[in-house]
Amino acid sequence: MIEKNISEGVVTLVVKGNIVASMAKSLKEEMLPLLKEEFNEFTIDLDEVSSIDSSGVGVLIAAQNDLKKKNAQLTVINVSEPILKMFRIMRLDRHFNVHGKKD
Amino acid sequence: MSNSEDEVLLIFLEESREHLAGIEEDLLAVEEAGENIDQELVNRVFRAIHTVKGGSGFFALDKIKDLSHVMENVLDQIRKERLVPTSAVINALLEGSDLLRSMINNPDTMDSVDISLPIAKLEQVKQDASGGAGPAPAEEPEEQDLIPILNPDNQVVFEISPDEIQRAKKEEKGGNLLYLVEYDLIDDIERKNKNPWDVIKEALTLTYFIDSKVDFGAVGSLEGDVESMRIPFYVLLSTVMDKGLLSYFLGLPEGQIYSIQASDEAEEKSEEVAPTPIPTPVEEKAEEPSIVEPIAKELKEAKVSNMTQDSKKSEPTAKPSKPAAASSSPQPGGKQPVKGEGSVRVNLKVLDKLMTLAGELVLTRNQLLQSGSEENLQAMQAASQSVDHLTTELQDAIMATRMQSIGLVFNKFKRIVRDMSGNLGKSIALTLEGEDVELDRTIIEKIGDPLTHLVRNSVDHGIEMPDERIQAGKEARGHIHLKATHEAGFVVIDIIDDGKGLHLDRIKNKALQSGIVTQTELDEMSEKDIQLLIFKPGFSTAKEVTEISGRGVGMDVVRTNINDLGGIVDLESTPGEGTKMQIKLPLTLAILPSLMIKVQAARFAIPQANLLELVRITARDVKNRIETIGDAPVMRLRGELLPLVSMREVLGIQQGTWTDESGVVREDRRKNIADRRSPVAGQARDDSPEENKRRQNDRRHSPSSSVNIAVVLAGDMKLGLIVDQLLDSSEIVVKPLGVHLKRAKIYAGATIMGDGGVALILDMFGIRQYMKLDQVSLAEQTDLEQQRASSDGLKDRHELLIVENGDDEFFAIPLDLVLRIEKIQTADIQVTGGQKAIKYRGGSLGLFAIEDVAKVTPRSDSDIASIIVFKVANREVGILVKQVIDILQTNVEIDGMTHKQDGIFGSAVIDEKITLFLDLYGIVNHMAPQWVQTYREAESEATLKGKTILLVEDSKFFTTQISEFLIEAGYKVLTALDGNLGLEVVEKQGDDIDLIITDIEMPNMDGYEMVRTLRKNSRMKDLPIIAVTSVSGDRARDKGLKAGMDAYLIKLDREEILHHINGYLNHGRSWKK
Repeated sequence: MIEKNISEGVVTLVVKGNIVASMAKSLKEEMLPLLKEEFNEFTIDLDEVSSIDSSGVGVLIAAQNDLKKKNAQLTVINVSEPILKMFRIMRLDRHFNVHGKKD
Repeated sequence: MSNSEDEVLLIFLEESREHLAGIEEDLLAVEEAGENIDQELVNRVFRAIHTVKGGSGFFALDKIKDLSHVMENVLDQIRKERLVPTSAVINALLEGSDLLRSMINNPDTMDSVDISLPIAKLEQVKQDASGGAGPAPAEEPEEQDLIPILNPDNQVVFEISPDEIQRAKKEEKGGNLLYLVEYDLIDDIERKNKNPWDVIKEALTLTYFIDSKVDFGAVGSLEGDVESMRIPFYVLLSTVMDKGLLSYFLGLPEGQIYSIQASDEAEEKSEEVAPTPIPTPVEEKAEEPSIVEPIAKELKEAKVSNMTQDSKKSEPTAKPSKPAAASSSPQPGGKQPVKGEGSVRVNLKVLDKLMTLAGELVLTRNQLLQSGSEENLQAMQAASQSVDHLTTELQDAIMATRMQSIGLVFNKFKRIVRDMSGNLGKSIALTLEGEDVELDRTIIEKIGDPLTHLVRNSVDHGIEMPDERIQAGKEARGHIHLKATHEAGFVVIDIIDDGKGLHLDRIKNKALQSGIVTQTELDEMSEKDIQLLIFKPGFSTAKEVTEISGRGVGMDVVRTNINDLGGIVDLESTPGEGTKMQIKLPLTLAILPSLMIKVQAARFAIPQANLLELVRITARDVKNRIETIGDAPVMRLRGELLPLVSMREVLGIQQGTWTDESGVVREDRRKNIADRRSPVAGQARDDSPEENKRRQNDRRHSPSSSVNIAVVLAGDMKLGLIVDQLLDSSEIVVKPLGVHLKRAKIYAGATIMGDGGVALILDMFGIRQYMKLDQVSLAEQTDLEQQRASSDGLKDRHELLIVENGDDEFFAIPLDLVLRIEKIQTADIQVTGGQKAIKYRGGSLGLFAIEDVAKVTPRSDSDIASIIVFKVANREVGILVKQVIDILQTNVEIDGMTHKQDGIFGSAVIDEKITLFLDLYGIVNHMAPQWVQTYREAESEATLKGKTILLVEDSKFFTTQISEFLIEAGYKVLTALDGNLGLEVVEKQGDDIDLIITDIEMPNMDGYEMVRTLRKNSRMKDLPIIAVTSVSGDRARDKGLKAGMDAYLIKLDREEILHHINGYLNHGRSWKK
C-alpha cells in the first residue's frame, strides 16, 4: 500500500510494505503519472520498508533516471539501517538523496 | 556523504595502501637491476598498480584510475623490455606511486590533487624510450581507435584500446577469451553478501580483470517493464577459461556471461605494435591443458572459499579466505603489508593456534573446576601447571599477532636515502640487515619517526661529500648500515655510518653557547659524555637548520620518543671513521621483563631495559665501597663513581625505619647509607657515650644489613638504586596509571602481581629528574657547602688531596691550597741550572720534587706524572708527584712530630696508611729561598713588627704551625685553646691585642660564638679578627662574616694569612671593604 501526500509542490510517497515484486510494480505505477506533473520535491518515505529487492531498487533508479531529465532529484527518507548500508555499498547514494531514520 | 563513511571504499583504500606499500621497494630494486629486467619483480609492481586501478574505476576515483593507468602502461613497457628502467623512469614511477598513496590516504581531498604533471612525466619517459630504443617498432599511435564492447542490447558498456586487449590476453591469468560478465547488483552481489569490490577482487584473482562499471543508465525509465529494471554491474575480463568454467567459478548463470569477439583487425594491428612476440607462460597455459588443470584446482579452492563466505553474514568486509589469497593475491610474496590503524591481518596459522589453545584452556578450566570441587590437590596442581603452560603459549601466540617485522620500517629508508643523497650530491649505499626481526606493531608504528631522524642525520651530517671522502682516504661512496638484532629479550637497532663522526669541539662550543653545560662541567666530561650532549634538549649541531634533517626536531625528541617506547638510545662515534647510533627496544610494550624489588613492604618493578647489574655490598664492605661526597652517597664500581639514590629517600620513607617479617614498622638506627667508618669526611666521629655503645653492638655484623643496589641506566646516566630487597625477575603486564597518579613522574605504570598485589613500575629517568641528579657536579658542590655550613662547630675537618710519589708512599696536601692538577709527560720536564721546569700556559712553571727536599722514596719512573700547581710568593709553582690517588675529607689528628722534616710538616694515618702532609711552602723555601725572600721583603716592609696577635686554636699542630710563622714574621703571639679560653685572654690582656686569629671548630665554644661575644663588647668593635679553617666554603664564610669576622682564610696558607694581618693592622677593619 502506498500513501500519497502532495502539498505545495512537495510529493511524498509513503511505502507501507516491502518493495518486492508486486509492490515494486505498484510503486512504479503510482509514480509514473506523478512524474509528469509539476513538483518541487519528490520524496519516498521508506519508514515501513524493511526489505527491497532488485526490481525495487530498479524502480528507484528508473525514477531517478526520469527525474534527472527534469533536473530534479529523488529523495529517499527514513531508510532502515540494512537498506541504508546496501545503498551505500552499491553506491546508490551517489545517485539519489538517501536519509536514514530520524531515530 | 563523505567518502570516509563508505565502508567498502575504506576496505578498498586500505587494501590499496597495502598494495602500494611494497612497490616502492620493488621499484628501487627494478632500478638497481637496470637492463636485466626481473620479470617477476616488474610484474609484482604491475599487479599492485593494476589492482588499485581495478577498484578505482568502480569507486569513480577517476584521478587514481587515470594515474594508475599511465603507470601501468609504463610498467608494461618495462616488462616488455622496451623501456630501460633508468632512474628518470623510476623517478616518474615513484612520484606517481607517492601521489597515488597520498590520494588514497586522503580520499576526501583527492579532488584537489593535480595529477597532470606526474602523468605528463610518465608519458614523457615512455615517449623518450620509444623514440630512442634503436630499431624499435614504429611509433606507437598517439590515439588508438578504441574498441567498443557491447552488451546484448547493443549498448556500449566499455571502450577499450586494442593495446589493452592485447595485453589482457598475454597477461598472467589472462587469456585469449574475452568476456563481459553481467552481475545483478542486488541478486548477484547484495543477496550473496558480497560487495562490488569483492566481485572485482574475485575477477582480479581468477582472471585478468580489465574494467568494471555499474550501468545505471541501463535501468532505463519508469516507462519500461519492472522486470527489466535490473541494475547491471559489468565486469570485463580475459581468461583461458571457457564460459562454463567461468560461470561455475563466478557463481553466475552462463546467460550473464557474454563472449566478446575483438575484431581480428585490431588484433593484427596491435600485433604489429609488438613485432617480437614474447612467448609468455600465458600462451603456454592456453595451449597446454596439463597446466590448466592445476589452475582449475586452485580456482576450485577459491570457489569453495567464496561460497563459505555466505556464512559470514555479519562480516561483509571479510576478505577472500586463505587458498585464494595465499595462492594468487597480488601482494608481494610473503611480506606483511603495512596496516592501517585499526585492523591487523593475522596469519591463519596463528589464528588456528589461538583456536586450539583456547580449546585447551577450556579443557583445563574444566579440570581445574572439577579438581577444585573434589578438593583433589594433585589434580589441581596438574591443572594449574597446564594453565601455566597454556598461558605462556597463548601469550606467545597473541603476541605473534601483534608482531611485525622491522623490515617494514627499514625498507622505506631505501627511498629516503636514495632521494636525500641525490639532493645533497652525495653517494650513499644503504645496506640492511635483520629486516625479519619482529617487534610489536605499536613499536613499529612509533619507531619510524625517530629512526628516520637518525638516518637522515647520518645522510645529512654523517656522510661527507664524495670529494671530501676521497681526501680523507675513503671510498667516495658512503655507507649506511641499518641492522636489527635480537639481544636478550630486546631488539637492538644499529644505524652505522662511515662518515666523519661527531665533531667534539663543535659539540662543546654549541653546548656552551646554548648554556647546556658550563666550562667546568665540560672539563670534567669524558669524550662519550660530550657526545651524549647532543641528546640534551635545546641542542642542535647543524650549522644551520637544513631542509633535510633539521625540521626543528632535535635529538632530544628522538631520545624522548625512544624512551617513551621503553627503549634506550646510545651512540659511539670516532671522528673521521663514523658514528654508530644504537637503539635498544623492548619486543613489546604490553609485557615488560622486569626485576622486582622491595622497599619496606611495597614492591616495585624495574624494567629490565634499564637494569645494568645488581650489586650487593656486604656489611663489611660498606665502608670501602660507599663513600660520601658532600651529602651524596656514591659507590665505586670498577673505578667509576656512581651516584647512589636510596629508594627510601625517593619515596619519602623515613630512612631509619624498616619493616620486620610481621609487617611492623620498626626503627632502624642506620641514618646514613655510608658507614660511619667509610672514608667519609665531614662527618665527625661522634664520641658521645651512646654512640660508642651503639658501635659496640654493631648490627652490621648481621648479613641483613648489607646494601642491595640495582645499577640502572637513567637516560644517559648510570646510577645506583638502593633498595631494601632484590626479588625475582618476572614478566609483568603494564597497566597504565590512573589520572591521579599521572603526575608522579617516578612511576611508569603499574602491574598486578601473581598474588594479586599491585606493584608500581619505576621510571628511572623520572627518578633521576625527581632526585635532581641532572647536574651532578653542581649538586655535589652545593651539598658539600651545605654540609660544611651545617656541621661547622665540631672538629677540624681537612679536605685533602692524596697523592702517591714513591711506590706506596702517600702524601696529603690541603686541597684549598691547590690551584690545579695537571697530567704531564715526564719527557717534557726540562732541567736548567738545577731547576726543573715545564712549559705551561705560555710560560714556564717551576717544578719541585718532594724527594729533592724530604728524605722520602723518590718518585717511581713513569712516562706520565702529575703536577700539583699552587701559589707561593705570588707565583705559581708545581710539585711533581707520580699520581693523584683521591680527594677526601677527614678529621684525623695531624701528628706534627714523628715525621716532621724539611718539606713535611706532619703525618696522619689515613685509610690505614701513614700519609705525610706536604709543606708546600717549606719545599719551595728550601729549594728556591730567593723567591720567598724577595716576596717576604716586600711584605715585611709593611709589617708592623712587635704587634700582638691572639691565636685561638684547639689543635696543637696548627697552633705550632701558625705561631711559628707569625713569630718568624715578627709578631708577638698569645694562644688560647678554645673560644672560652680566648675570651679569658681577651678579658685579661684585651688592650694589648692588636688582632685575633681564630679557628672555627673548637670544643666548648666555637669561633663563631666567641666572635659574636667579642663584638658585643664595644672595646672589641674595631679589632680585626681573621678566621682560619681547614675547609672553606661560601656558606661558612658568610656565617663567619655575619658573626663579625673580617676574613676567612685557610690555615696553612701562610702567605695569605700574613698578607691579611698586614693589611688589617695597617688599615684597620675597613681594609678590605
